[in-house]
Amino acid sequence: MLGKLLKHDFKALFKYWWIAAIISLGLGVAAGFSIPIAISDNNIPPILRASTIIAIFVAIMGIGVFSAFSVVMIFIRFYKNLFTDEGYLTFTLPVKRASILNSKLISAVLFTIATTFIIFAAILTALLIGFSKDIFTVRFLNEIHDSVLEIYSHTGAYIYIYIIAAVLLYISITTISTLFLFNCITFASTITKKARVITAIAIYYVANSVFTSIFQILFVFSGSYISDKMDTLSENMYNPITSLILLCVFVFTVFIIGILYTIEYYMLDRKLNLL
Amino acid sequence: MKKILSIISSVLIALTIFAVPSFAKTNDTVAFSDDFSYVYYNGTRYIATDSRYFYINDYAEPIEVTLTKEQKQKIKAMSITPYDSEFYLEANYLLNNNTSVYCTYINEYYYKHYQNAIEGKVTTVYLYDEDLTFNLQNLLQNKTSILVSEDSEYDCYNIMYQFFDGDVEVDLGVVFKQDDKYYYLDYATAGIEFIHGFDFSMIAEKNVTVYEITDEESLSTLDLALGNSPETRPLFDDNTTMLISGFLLIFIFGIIPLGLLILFLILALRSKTKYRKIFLTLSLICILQIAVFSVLFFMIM
Repeated sequence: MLGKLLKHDFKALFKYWWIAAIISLGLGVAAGFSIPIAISDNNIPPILRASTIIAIFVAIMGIGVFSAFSVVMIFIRFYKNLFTDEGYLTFTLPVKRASILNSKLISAVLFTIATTFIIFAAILTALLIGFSKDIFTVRFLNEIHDSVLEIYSHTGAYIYIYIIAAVLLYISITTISTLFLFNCITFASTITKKARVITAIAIYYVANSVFTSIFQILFVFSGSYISDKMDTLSENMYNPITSLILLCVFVFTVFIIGILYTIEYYMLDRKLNLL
Repeated sequence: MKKILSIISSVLIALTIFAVPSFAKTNDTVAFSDDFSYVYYNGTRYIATDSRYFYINDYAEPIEVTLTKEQKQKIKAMSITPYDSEFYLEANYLLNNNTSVYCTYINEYYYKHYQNAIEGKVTTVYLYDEDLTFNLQNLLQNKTSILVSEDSEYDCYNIMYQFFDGDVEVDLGVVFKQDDKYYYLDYATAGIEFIHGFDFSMIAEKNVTVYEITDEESLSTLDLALGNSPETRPLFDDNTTMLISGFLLIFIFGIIPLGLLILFLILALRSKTKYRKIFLTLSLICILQIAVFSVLFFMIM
């Protein structure tokens, strides 16, 4: 049943997202062709130079709007599907509530990741086209090659662990932020019937500020503590300990996901308050 | 008419005479002295100097120089790197015996300023921040000698002088703290080589000649820099910071998961519905979290 739910969620989210994604990539290409003119030392007519600078600015803004559009689209679908009139239909479907939540969560996380990839691809396209003269040179490619080799000489095979850890952490942190927003929307819907969206935004803003501050303080303190301790370690222990720290952080993010998921599931299961 | 023509032609001849050498000057021919102590480049004289005392954040490509017949008798090839040709350039000579000579040169116009700076004949010098200035003479008062060892840890601050509109920084010495006293190590007096990005541990166990700083004004500037003044003293010292961070780490990654583990286990035992599965899963994640953190904690400690 989860498969069917996912299919519908994907279809609904993909409906407009692909258009925005293609526009973003197009803006990346346009910015790429504008960069050489904007930064050229040659005697270029001021109007042409100004238009290319505006084009780059519009492209950057457009890519930013695409990012915001994706996030808003995901959460509007979550809200409309579960807490407005549509909610009566959704919750009468012959599926477990966990499946509904899983479907929303998986589709939201995958679309957020896809959005990040599109933004990354758009920026990379702009840079590759814009600075092609400097990038596609033997010297630059050799420098990249040397940098990779230098990193490898420090990390050895641990580089693969770091790459896997980075991917896993990215997915887990995306899941946390998605679940956190789901929590805020659901909590706002359980406590009020009016102005739910504004209440959800307010709750998100306050809760996010509190948690961000706590984690920043933790990061500053623990960062200095860990770096001091790492200095006292022998060099051959550096990579195993770093891997273990990454594992510890990953398990911690899974732990937070577990707690946020349970809270979300509990609210949908026991505290549902439809309009 | 004849008179006018003769004036015009004499002017033209005069221009040609002066123009030829000036055109010749614009090519990349460079003159240099036999002992390489100076070079002429673009009509300006540059004097050889020791570039260890200053740093220019600039990049320039070397320029191959066309040698004259006389010069070719002395050297095989030469290149000039005009980093900031208004102030400084580097020259590489390839001698006929295939040895190369590397020299750095300062524009003669600035050479005197530079010499004055490294000889300490300047008044106002500054610490890493231009607002923290000293009167150099106040730092050069009480000469003494102290033992510097590799194990000692110092807070070191370069003392610098700026000129060439602030584009060139000349390092003159370093201020550091030992046994609650501040000392100024003047490179010229101590006779030690300048080390850029100064690191005392590079001077292995040796007696160095320094100046103990007793001047009130200089001491208050140093207190500001080192965070010893009431306004800049940090809220927590290093040990307290370490203690707080250690406690926070153990609390968040160890104690909270342990407390939640107990809570989830109790909830799992009490619930008989689908929530039992959820609480058991959460308990397992808590156990995993505690296990990984414990291994890490014991490995680091």
